[in-house]
Amino acid sequence: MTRVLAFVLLGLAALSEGGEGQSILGSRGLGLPLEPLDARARALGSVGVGLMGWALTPTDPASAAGSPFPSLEITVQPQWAESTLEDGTDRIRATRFPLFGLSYPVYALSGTVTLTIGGFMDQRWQLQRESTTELEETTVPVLDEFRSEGGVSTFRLGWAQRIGEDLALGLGLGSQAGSVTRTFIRTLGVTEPGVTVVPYRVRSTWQYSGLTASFGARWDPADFLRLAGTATWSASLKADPMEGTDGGDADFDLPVEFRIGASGLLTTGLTMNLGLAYAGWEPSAGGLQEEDLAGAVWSYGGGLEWTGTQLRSRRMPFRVGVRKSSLPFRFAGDDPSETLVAAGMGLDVTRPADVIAGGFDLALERGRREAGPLTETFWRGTVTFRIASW
Amino acid sequence: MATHVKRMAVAGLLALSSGAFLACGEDLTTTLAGDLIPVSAITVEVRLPFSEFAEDLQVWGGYGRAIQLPTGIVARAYEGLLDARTLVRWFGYPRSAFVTDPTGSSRTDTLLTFVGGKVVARFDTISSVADGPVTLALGAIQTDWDPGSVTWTLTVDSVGDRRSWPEAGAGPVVPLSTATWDPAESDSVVFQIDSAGVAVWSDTTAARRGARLEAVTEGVRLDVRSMTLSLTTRPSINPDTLVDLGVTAQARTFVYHPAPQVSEGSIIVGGVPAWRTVFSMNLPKVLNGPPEFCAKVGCPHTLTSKSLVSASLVLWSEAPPPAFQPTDSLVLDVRPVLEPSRLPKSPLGFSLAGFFGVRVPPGYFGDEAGSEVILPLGAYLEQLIAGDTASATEVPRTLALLSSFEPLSLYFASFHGPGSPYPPELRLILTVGEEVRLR
Repeated sequence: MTRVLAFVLLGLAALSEGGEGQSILGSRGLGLPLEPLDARARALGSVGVGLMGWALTPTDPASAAGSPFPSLEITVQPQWAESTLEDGTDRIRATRFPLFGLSYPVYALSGTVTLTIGGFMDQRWQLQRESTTELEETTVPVLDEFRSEGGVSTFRLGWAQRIGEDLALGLGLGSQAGSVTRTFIRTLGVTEPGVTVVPYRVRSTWQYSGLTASFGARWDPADFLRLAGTATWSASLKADPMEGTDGGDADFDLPVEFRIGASGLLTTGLTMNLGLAYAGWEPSAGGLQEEDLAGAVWSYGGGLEWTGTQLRSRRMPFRVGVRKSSLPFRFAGDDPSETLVAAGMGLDVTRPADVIAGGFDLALERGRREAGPLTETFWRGTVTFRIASW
Repeated sequence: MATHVKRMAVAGLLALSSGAFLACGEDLTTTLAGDLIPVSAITVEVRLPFSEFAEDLQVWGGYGRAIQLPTGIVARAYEGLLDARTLVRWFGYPRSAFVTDPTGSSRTDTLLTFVGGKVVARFDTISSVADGPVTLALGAIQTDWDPGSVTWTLTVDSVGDRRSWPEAGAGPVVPLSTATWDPAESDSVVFQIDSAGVAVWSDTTAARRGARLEAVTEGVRLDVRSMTLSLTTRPSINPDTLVDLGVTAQARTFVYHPAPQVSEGSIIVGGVPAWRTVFSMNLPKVLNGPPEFCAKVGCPHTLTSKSLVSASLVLWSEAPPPAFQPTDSLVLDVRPVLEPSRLPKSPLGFSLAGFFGVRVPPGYFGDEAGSEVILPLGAYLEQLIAGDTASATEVPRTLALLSSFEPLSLYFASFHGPGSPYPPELRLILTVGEEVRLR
């Protein structure tokens, strides 16, 4: 068992090191949405609510209700992408940490306190453009680079409360935080002897801040059925320029986001999950304009989880799922969309007698994003490791 | 067992965390077509004539002395003009020698008889200019002279003490020997000296006055790499044997005539003693031309250190007098003058031309006169422009053009000055871009 786990972990680490991913779509609006979902939700094509069992998911604040032990969860997400635009193709890669969470059950109150740091908008991208310019009578090659480094994350403190055997409510309060540094660099290929040319560089940095709150409910009307829903409200996201930044500040109105999901036990060991999410993005005076936004953003997906397999008495579920989403920020005047299929597995290292729990989940997604002339195909891996004890 | 599982889980967590950190390497660069970069920029080149960026050009001389050069020079009517003679001072003759007596024992002999000797002069065959064999003459100098300040006409040229040679050109001398050097055969010439000649330098005062090496053949210029004196001795403890003893040279230098005449207003760098050319920067804060520049970026255009990506001082070479034309590369440097009021003795700042300076081929001052020589000033101008906006920073505005190694040679570099048809220029490359915005 130890060998299996070690090989899997080392293999994942190696995959992550060479990983590519993310999207050119991240260069539009506030970036590419980075959902704080764990590998189980990813493998099931879930929108992050209504999964069976308990979970530590910021998109479903009630999901931590019933958590038996204090737990820690880390999710790593390497990505590989290939973008095609106007007959040109490029490969890019990146690794993200979309979710880090802690939960601690308060048994006297039948509730669980949670702390999560989750992704919200990924703003790491880099573009290059090659051209030439005329200096005196010489044609000089020019390389323009634009780098965006940073993003927005959500820090959230939550409480999940069980009410009876079938109902749980959750509340999360937190703030958006992060920063982005945008740099434009022009490098001239002057090869004239004696002439030294330094790159032209302009750089600006903004710091993000904003408040957010979420409410969720989970109801198990029957042993084989779970229904859940959440609403997340956010105040406007404020971007303040740091010292030395030429650009001004900005306020981005963030939409209220709704998510609903359901899980049903189809047969012993086989569960189906379905979910739907909606957010209506609106233009704001000091932020994004109408032409930047896709407006209503829908996402829906679902999947199957088989828990009938065991490895040396330890549960080893297998999952498959599909998901289709629209993305909030337009590219070249077109509304982008994302379609993906996913598969994954988990391994729960659980010994009920000794009350020690830990495990990991793995998801692998194959997806496609389209926006007018842009087409992207990508592989995305997600690994979540969790450990719980008391 | 529980402990085992827990250890496994912790090890797994650590392994995954390590893997995650290793996975942080990214390749996000996209070069796809399309106007995806949200910033546009224009790059333009501007050339400012000297009068628009600098003023008060001055040439200062007197830096370094001929004795600091690694070679002496011998010339006679070189290019119909230049005469040069190499002077060497000797230490005193040896008073004793360790020799082998007739019995085979080694003993110190203090009763030495010098029966003759030879002076060997070695030349730089590459840099020397001679069409064929050259006749040279060696003489013993009759006057005391100062190696550090001696000139063609003065034995001593220091503050409060100026003394002339009885005869210009380090004369008169007692003729000792003549010899002919053929550059095609060897790199050295030997002057045989008889016992009477050796006796000339027998006392330490005469040895200190030393020897003068001059060319008899006209139209040559030779670089002297070394001069050595070797004495032939008959020891008293073994009179049937001759022993060679070396005499060390105390100092070697050269004197030349005439002093080079340089064009009025030219930029002169190098020579010995060396010249430096100094000027003050008077960079405009705002550019109002040339028209092509204004058409691209709009005028008036305020110069900023951010937009300045390259700045170079452009000089146009001219030929110095033929006798002083370089025969090897020159290395130029630009350095800020830290206290212009103390010129010519002001301290200088760090090099702006880099550690190795700017190498200029000798041909630029001969057949290729009129060539462009570029000296980088980018980092300095960036500071100068930034210093204008942040008054707390004091950036020297006076610059000195000089040889990286000073003195380097008798020859020197000459460039067209501000009043010439090819005045120095400041070449600027500017990139003007939009500000980086969030939206």
